[in-house]
Amino acid sequence: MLDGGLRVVSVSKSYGRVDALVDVSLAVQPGEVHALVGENGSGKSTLVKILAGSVRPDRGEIWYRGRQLSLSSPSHAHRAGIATVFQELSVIPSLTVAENISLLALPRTPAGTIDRKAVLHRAEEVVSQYGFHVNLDARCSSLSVQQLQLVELARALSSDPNVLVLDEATSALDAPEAAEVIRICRDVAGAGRAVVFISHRLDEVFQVADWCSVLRDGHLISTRSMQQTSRNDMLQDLLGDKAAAILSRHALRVSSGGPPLLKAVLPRACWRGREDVSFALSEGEIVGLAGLQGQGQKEVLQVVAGDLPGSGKQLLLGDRPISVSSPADALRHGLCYVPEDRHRDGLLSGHSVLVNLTLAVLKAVSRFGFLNRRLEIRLYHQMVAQLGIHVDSWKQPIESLSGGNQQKVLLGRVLLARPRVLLLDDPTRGIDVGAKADVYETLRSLADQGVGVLLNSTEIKELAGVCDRVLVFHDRRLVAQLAGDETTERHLLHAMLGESRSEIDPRDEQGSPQVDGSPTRQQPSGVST
Amino acid sequence: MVKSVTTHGEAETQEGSIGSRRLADLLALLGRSPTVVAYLIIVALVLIGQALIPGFFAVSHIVTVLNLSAILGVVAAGQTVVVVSGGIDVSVGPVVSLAEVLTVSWAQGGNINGLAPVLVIAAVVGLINALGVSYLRINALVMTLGTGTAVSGFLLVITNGSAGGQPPAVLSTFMRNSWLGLPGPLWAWLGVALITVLIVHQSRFGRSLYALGTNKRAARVAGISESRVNIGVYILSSLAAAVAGITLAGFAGTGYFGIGNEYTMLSIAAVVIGGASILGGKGSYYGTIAGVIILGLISDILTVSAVAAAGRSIIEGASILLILVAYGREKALRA
Amino acid sequence: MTEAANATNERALPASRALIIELGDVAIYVGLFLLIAASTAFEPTTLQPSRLLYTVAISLVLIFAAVAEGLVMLLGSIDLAVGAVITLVNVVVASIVSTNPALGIALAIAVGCGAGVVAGLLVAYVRLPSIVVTLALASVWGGIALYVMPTPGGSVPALLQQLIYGPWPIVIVIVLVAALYWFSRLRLGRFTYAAGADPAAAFRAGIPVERTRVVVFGIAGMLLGIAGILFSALTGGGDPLAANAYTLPAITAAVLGGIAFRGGKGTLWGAIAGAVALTQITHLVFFMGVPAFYQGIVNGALLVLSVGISRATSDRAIVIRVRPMRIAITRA
Repeated sequence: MLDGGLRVVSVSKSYGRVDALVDVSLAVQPGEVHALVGENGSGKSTLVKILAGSVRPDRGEIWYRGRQLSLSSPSHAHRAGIATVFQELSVIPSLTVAENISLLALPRTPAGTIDRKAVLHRAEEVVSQYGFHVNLDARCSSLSVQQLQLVELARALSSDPNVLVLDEATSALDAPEAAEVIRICRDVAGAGRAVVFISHRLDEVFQVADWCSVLRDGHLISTRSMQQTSRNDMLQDLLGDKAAAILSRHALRVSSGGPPLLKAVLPRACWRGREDVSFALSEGEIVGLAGLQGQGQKEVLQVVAGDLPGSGKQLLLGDRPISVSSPADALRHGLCYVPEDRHRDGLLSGHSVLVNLTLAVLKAVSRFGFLNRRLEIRLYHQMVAQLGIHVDSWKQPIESLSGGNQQKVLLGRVLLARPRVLLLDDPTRGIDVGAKADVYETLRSLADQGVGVLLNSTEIKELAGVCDRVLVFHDRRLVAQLAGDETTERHLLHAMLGESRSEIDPRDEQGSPQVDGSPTRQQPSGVST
Repeated sequence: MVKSVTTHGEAETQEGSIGSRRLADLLALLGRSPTVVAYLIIVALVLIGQALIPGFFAVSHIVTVLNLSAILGVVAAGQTVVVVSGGIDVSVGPVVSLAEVLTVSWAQGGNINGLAPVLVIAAVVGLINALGVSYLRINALVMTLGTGTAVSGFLLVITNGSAGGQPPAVLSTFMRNSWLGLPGPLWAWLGVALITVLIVHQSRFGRSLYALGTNKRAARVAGISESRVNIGVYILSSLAAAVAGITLAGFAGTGYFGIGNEYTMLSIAAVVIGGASILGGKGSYYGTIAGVIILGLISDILTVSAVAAAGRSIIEGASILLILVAYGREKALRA
Repeated sequence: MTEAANATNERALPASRALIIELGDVAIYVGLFLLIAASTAFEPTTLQPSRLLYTVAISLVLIFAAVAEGLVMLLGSIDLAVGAVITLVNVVVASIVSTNPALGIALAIAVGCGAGVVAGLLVAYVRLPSIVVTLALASVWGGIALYVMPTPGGSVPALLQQLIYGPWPIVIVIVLVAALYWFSRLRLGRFTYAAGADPAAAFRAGIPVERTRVVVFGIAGMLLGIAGILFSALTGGGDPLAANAYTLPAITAAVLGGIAFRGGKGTLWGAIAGAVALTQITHLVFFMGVPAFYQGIVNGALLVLSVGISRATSDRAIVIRVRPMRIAITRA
């Protein structure tokens, strides 16, 4: 029994009848980076919230260096020396970077006001100690998401915590920034602190962690030393019996598509790019939009979907020009859009699965303005069967479904609208592997029926495995259209980094295709942006 | 503002442990269905009333209470539609006054055609509200506050400060008598209630109300046009207020400029007591009806107990707070 | 970090190299200037020192009410009990404190603060929506006021009545401005804006959001207490109903001053300017011979207009760079 470091002892937490955590124990030594992995619903986010003081466990204790901690609120957790960096940012936009970094210990003058010089000084210390690249005087409302994530990390570090907890802190970051975060983690551990690193990217876990605990369905499955673990071991723990079913590479699609379905010409102003862009989509084709974050591919999708105004754009459906100035217009023409953030832009929380499912086809399920409940239920059963949604009854509140099933409901919502073109923004983000596989199946069968799919994705694996063609964006331009056997991960990655095809070194092997379904990002070697 | 969603959809209980698990479960159940609680409170109030004043529970008295609540019931119907869709309408009070005074002074005891212009004006007010909220993107509270103030002023201007006259004879006759045992205003409420339930709970428009109130972005992406729904919402609210004012005119017989003022706050209180969330997306007209009856019962108990105006004010305000504490609470920050 | 995004983002530059002026915050001053100019055109005596003093004196109550409302609005809440609290303070001062000015001030501030804290506790810890809470509390405070003083009467200590004469109004406003400046430099000030802009994020960041709310409501209550004293000074007596009319103008003044409903945006000095502007507009309308009946329409239109302007200027700022010299108007 080691007394030093962080110890989580038999922690349990339930929400009503659902057990989020069941008797979980683990230990993190000072100087150790301990990874916590688990699929959605595994309980890892609950554990993080407990460590951060946002949630109190029903049973169990947290100890540090032999003293029991009372983590009854975020401020208690801070005082106890646990600093957490969440995926959802808690940077205050109206304050400057320096103020945000020093937020929890804003130094005061004798008059009680904030001591600006001291604030700046503290912030400078942190920034220089860990090598951050941020502008201390900038107001946080003007920074990008990546920059905000780094500010968040700097703030956590400024309190000189004993324990640093990073909850999916790299998920919004591109490879270079993620690498910076990983380096900082190792530095922090090297300074004798305990680091808890939560991620669903196994590559990063293997890079940064000394130990790794796997959670599944609220239980601790294993705690392994990274030296003695292989990727397959990890997957086995993560997925349990599902692992065997998913251990096959997605078959390359070899479809050239049918007659032209959608043609888009977007002047540069409307998608905020550097050039005008135009592309076409054929019936039955799955076209991917790829690129590092912020290269414009998301805006392209949103403009076509009518979610962004995009004035001056020209869209042709079949051979007819159409005008799309809102998602409602798009729906009317059969362009169905599923946004990226299902909680913010998709789901109606507090309402049933049925209400969520039929939201886009209210006209079709009503007669003379009144809803036909029986028809709604019939459509519900149809979608549940078609998409394999795990749900008990149509009355269930949507929050009771897992992330993957919620995403399926959103997909079902647009499918009910009989799309001719599906516009999907990162549809499999944050959902479990099983649900992902179901979604790919659905997309493929839709394509077989002649539906065109435009898919914005941040996972190279997904793009490579699912798409017929991929439009790659870099520096806010469309730089490559990869098709057929060019849609490999290696080609995609190079294109995303702005390298032309001739620059790809055949000896530059990014690793053999992984025989797993887990979402990982290839780490480029020696690339700087 | 982003509302945070818990993984399992239930609000965290405020303190760690509330004694036994069963009590916690019961409270959670009640918290989930505020409408049930509201009707339970009605029962409690009736019992209190009976204890304080014998004969309280007599049919004729209950009918009187319901009759007096009918006006609020009609106004609150419109307010329910607005609040569920995520907005708020504080111009209802002035519109009630407007309708009441104009019905009296324009009709001059004549026929019922004089009511049409009143409804049209109310619809225009609603339209202005909707345009301000949807197209100018002005906060609903501010917009309706502005139009409400303007309507009060407009009423003074248009009547030159005098509210003489008589409501249409047909209207007076209907409102001042009982039909099949129920007084006229109660019939008016019944009619409005039926229409409201159909609109809010059975219609496609009603579904879009809930969608808009819960998650505007999601509703938009799903093809629901916020501007079009808002037009319907605010026009309905103003029309309801106008109907209430017309009913009042028939019942009271004379015009009074400030007659509608209290209905603004009362309609909001009724809607929230009935379990709706002020942020939208939650609630039902059944709940609002309960809220209306609760307020009517409280008012009646106070009247019959001859409580002075000061006491009434205090008790009414405190009652609303108490009821809200029971189940009107918003989600906790920690989730 | 994408260079492209940074290069075009003026505001990401260090503050030492650029001065950022939020349009929404200064619009009121421009408006006030234009208003005074227009007033002077109609009524040349507007700019005379005695007249200016008079304008400030009669705006005093509204100034404090507007700042109190503005504080609550910065939190993202709303206070519909402003008028009721002023009324309550007024009747308490007029009935209980007839001769002792010090006691009067102390009691007023205590009552106001108490009312504010009650509202704050209900909103922050019991988690009731502020619109309903303050509406219900207005009923309660109004009832208590009626109980304390059923009919107008009572008297206000003579010393307090002097507050609206001579140089005192200006002194009071200056003290208020200084106090607000100090508040803006407190941690509490930053926490207020943070709690209003995004309470969930503020909470996650470890800011004591609930405590901040209660304290801010309490401070707003104290300001309403002062407003009550000033109202008593103005009227010389107590009236259980008169001050209720201050609620809507307080909101209008705060909005005119640039404070947004959703919270976290605007300045309290703007609320002061808004109150002065509103008082002046009311006076101007009256002076121009518009019948009292139209006042309602004017007030209503004003409220909508001010929000419209607020929307138009929202998130836009003037960024002035020193080296190289450049002035640009940007969006956040």
